[in-house]
Amino acid sequence: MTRRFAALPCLFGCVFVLPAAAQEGPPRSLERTLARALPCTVRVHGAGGFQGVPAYGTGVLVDERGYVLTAWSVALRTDSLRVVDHRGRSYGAVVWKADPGLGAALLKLEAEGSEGFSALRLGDSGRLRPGEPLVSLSNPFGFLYGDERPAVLRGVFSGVLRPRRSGYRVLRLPERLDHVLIHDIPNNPGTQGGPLLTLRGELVGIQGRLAESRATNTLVNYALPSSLLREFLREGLAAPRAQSLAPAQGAAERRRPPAVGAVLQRAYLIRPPLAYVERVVPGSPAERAGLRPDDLVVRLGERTIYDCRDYDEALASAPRGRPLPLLVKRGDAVLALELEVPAEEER
Amino acid sequence: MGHGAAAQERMPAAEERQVRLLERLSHTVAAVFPGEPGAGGGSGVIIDPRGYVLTNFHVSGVKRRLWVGLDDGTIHPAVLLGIDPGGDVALLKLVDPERSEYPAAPLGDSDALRLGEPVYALGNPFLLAEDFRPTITQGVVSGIHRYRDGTGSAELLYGDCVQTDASINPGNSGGPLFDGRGRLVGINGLGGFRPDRGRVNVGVGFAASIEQIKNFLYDLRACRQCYHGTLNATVRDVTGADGRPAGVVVDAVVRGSNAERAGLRLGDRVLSFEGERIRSQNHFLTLLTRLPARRRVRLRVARTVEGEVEPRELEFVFRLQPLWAGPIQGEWRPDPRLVAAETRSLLAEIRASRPPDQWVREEQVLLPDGRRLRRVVRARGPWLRVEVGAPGAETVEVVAGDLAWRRDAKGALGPLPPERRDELAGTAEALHGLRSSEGENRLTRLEFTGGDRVAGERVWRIEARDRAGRRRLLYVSPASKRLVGYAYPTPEGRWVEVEWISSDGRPRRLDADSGEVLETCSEVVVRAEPQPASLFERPE
Repeated sequence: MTRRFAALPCLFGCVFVLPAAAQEGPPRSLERTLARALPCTVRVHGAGGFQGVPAYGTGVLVDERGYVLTAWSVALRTDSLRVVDHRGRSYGAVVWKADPGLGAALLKLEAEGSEGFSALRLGDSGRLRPGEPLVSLSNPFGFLYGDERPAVLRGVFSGVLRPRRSGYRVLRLPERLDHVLIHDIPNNPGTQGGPLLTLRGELVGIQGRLAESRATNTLVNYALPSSLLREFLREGLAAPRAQSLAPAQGAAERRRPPAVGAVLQRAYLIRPPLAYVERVVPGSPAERAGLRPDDLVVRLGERTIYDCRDYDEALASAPRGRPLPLLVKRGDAVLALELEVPAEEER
Repeated sequence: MGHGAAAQERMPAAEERQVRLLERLSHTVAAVFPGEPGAGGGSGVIIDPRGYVLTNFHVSGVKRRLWVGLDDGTIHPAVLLGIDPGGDVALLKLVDPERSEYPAAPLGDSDALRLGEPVYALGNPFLLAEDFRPTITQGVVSGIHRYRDGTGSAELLYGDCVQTDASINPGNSGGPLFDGRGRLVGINGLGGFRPDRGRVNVGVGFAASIEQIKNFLYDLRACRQCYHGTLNATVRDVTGADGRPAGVVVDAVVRGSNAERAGLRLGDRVLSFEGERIRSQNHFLTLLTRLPARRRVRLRVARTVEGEVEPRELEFVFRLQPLWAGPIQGEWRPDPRLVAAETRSLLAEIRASRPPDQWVREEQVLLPDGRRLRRVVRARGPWLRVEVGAPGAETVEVVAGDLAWRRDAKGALGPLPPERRDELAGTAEALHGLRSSEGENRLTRLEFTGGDRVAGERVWRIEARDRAGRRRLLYVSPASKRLVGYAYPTPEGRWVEVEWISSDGRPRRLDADSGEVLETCSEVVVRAEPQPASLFERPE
């Protein structure tokens, strides 16, 4: 029934048919947008499945030669990256350019002799107005198989969030993200990297993850705005060869905390636990500082420590080879200690 | 409802239509309480003015008596008719002695849904509404033909479901998903929840598709426990060296299963299922799991045979076997009183269409060996007369009460062979019993036992047994209330299915299991016409 309506306007003209069709099917602009975006949406399969990092994601073809824009994830750091297109065809892929600081990655499909791909161009996220309807295509929870079509989710643009100026903290914060788009389309494992479009089909961003407010303990969904991706994409498409994902870049992406010899209780299911010390390595800086098992670390340097993640981050960014003031709670007492952070460890 | 006139003027026409539509649909939505009213439960939707309510099996469980709240704030007692634990669907019937008619939602077509199309989920999430006025959430069709593996203790399977971003939360379970024109396209039942956020919607919800539920609806109404079909074989997607999908290949077959006995083998590449070309494993699974067990299906495969360049194309016809849906609490037995009531209601509908008691049917029969015959069947109540051959030189077979005789083409009279007598008399008694209560009194059993598919139509199946113990399955079209086919057992124990009426005008007689065509009819003419008793008397 509904399918027949789609053909009618061509036969009899739009005037009489449109009202009925509008009631029944998707709005025409949305339908056109989906028809255009579906062949450009791909599924990304990397390495993962550990530490809450999903091994799957979504991407969007941005160049006919087979370049896919997606969200950066450590799951992409693999030799066996695969990308599946809308027909269920699977391609090997390499990370052509990655910018963990921006949270974006550009993949190149290994598709010699391919007939070319459908692709979307970046639109202008700067023109978005709060309340504007948006639609996303994605592979939530990684449940798509074969040529199954991506999930269509709809919502509205809520506004721009500037993480550094607000009380929000973006989980696994891409360092150089100046601002993100906030919307009410739920981001789930696997949706990251999926295209975010206006109903007119303008690619205004790619889906990110969740931003969390320290103050209210709430989560909001964010997307990487096209305005921040444009330069990255231009450079990536101009690059003559794939950028090497050397360890140096990995270090920039997330500095490993130096080994100070305090082992925290880290087992967790839902949220990182409080920074309780479980064990102190004999002869380590932690022992020398006077740390003991069952101490709760509440402050490192200038930073309040809410959980193990804060502890790692504070330690990772602490100046090396210098003493770091430390506040711990032991029983009912709060003790001020000083931890000597070792100089850059050898790899 | 206190709409201010000013508010109505301000509302655009399209929104006004939508509000009116949802107001009307709200009347069809039920709050389902398997225990005390208001104490916890889910949602449902009325699909028939007589008070049939669809809900989730994980809402009703096997609770025989339930309470149902409607949006006017009233609470009604209901009984559980049938369950589909595998598909997470259950059918209830409102049995309020003070009310016999309810607002009902029309069934839609979930196969015709398009991505991005607006849909509405109605129900009672978190049991918010104590007066049972449903919560309405709007979304779009996020995906169709999704296959979700079984979850939970009873392996609730969403074999062919509609994905939506309309908010579906605990308590929405069993409630309706409507399309933009207010037709029921699914039963909401599965939310994509995330452990780190509690059991709240995360934009990914699933509804059992109405096209799947339609395949089980008559079994549910006949108070059955339904089973979904399985191939007893598994398939997987194969990818070619170039990354292109290279088909769906059988990678395990259960020994002794129907599929194996029909000839399916490891390594066969699935080409089509029930006439539909198979694109992927997911596609195949969604088509398969929406069918009930015992459904006769047609599977086409390609097999590479050693020494041959081109793969051979083979076609297998066999019956699906039941997919074990996990243990349910207690064994399910249809309640005989409810089955009797549903049977009565069905028979009343059939007889209200006044099926003729005396009729004649003429047809041209084409046998598999190429022979053509002219056949005339005449009925007068429980009497049947079959003439085969050219007029004047025809074979005549008659069963009429205690009388059974035969006259061959040369005019020689004799007794009807016992097997042939059983075949004709059993059918005559069953057809007569379906048509009239006098006929029904001659039978020992006449019972609605579920649904089936005959000549491409979803039909009611009514089982008849006469005093001589002869069984017949009668297939009646729910739309026309006409008999569209029947089935009878042969002396060897096989069942023969007769398509009495076929949409393509070529009714057939086939082996009920293998689908082998035993005869094809054309030029079928049926007339209601008095048949003189003399035609059934044995000539001297």
